[in-house]
Amino acid sequence: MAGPRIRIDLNSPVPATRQIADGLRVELVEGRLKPGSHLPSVRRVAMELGVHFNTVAEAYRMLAAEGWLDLRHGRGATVVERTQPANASRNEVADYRQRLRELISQMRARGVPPAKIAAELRALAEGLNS
Amino acid sequence: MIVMIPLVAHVLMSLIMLALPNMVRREILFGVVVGADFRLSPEGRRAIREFRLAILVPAVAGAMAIVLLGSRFIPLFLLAPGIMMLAGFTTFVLQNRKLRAFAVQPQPLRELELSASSERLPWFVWLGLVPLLLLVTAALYLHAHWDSIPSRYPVHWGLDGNPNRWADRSFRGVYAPLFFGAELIIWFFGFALAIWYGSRRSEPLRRPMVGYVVAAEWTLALTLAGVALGPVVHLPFAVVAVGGVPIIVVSIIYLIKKSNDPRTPVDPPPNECWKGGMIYYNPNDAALFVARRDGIGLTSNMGNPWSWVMLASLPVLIGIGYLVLP
Repeated sequence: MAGPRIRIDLNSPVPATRQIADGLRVELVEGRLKPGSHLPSVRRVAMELGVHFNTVAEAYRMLAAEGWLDLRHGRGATVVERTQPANASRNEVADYRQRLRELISQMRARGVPPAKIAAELRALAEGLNS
Repeated sequence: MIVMIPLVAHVLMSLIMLALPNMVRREILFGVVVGADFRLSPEGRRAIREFRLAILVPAVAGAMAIVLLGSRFIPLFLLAPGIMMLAGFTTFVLQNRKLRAFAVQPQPLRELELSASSERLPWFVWLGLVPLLLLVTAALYLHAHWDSIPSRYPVHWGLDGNPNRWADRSFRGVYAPLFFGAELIIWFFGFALAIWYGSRRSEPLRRPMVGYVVAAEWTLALTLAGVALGPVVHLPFAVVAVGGVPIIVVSIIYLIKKSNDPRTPVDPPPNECWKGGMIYYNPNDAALFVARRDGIGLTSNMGNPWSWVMLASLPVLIGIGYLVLP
């Protein structure tokens, strides 16, 4: 089975920092990156993805601030056991709902049927629970 | 006979320039990523035809000038191939501009496996240090045969094959070519390491390119050891001049073969970052080397300051070498 991967689209309007952080977060949340795992160095990620060092460093810092990574100089980035944060605030939930609505609208506009979208969301949610 | 070597060199360079459109993958023409069948289209054929014609005219004129006037006007030996190359590169840039209208945007997706595993240098990189031993051996041999070295002997030959610089039997005169070779070989070894660590792991030309640099080190060491040992061993000029060439020729042939291998994705660096189809300038790409679009092998990312440091250090080293040489 292939190991955890991230993928970015250089033509996407979403900034590369955000794409890298989002890609890593998916691997962390879904458990493919486990506590104690070492991530590749900033230099290597930047080189392989064809982006600037600062872009990757910023993504690593974002995830460290969220409590996923431990960044120590000279030791690279290590995945840490993350304490479950307090429940998201009402505003944060509203923000996530808005983003989901936008994504679902985008999928529907591209012709994905509602039943298929619902099945995808259910599969993703079940994946998180397992 | 004086014109023979420059003529052969001019003809060889002309043939290489004429073959330039065929030295890159089919999806790339004059530095532009196009469809694989674009070469067969009327526009593709016209572009190749115009490029070859722009080379052929100065190539034939230059060859005739070398044969008819070369013996009386030596600078022609450099002028003829120089004009042919200039015509070739100018036409390349013009064709690059024309073909941009047919450009296909390269695959923008990039993927990385999140493993922190380190990567070992290929074994043949260490062969790049052997030429240093070769130069040290030559120095020891010269030291042991010091009394056999003539008091004055040639160390440099002109384009006509005649010696134009001499050295005397002094520490500087005897060992300078070896010192010059050693500093260049150390630079090339550093260059090979920079290629290995400064290009993407997914880059298929990384290994053949490092092999090519190691081969260049061997050619350089054999040539300069030949020059340094010349006064004692009395090697013929032709042996010194071309003795090490087969090594680099083999590595170039391998590099051409690998450069032509199809690859997926076709060519990730975006089109906008290629200046004239030859110069890669992308300050947002951490890679120091990417696959060329104008020929074989890899090229430096000129948007990375380390590329400038690396490229500027070579003329500085050559300058130091010239100051040391007798």
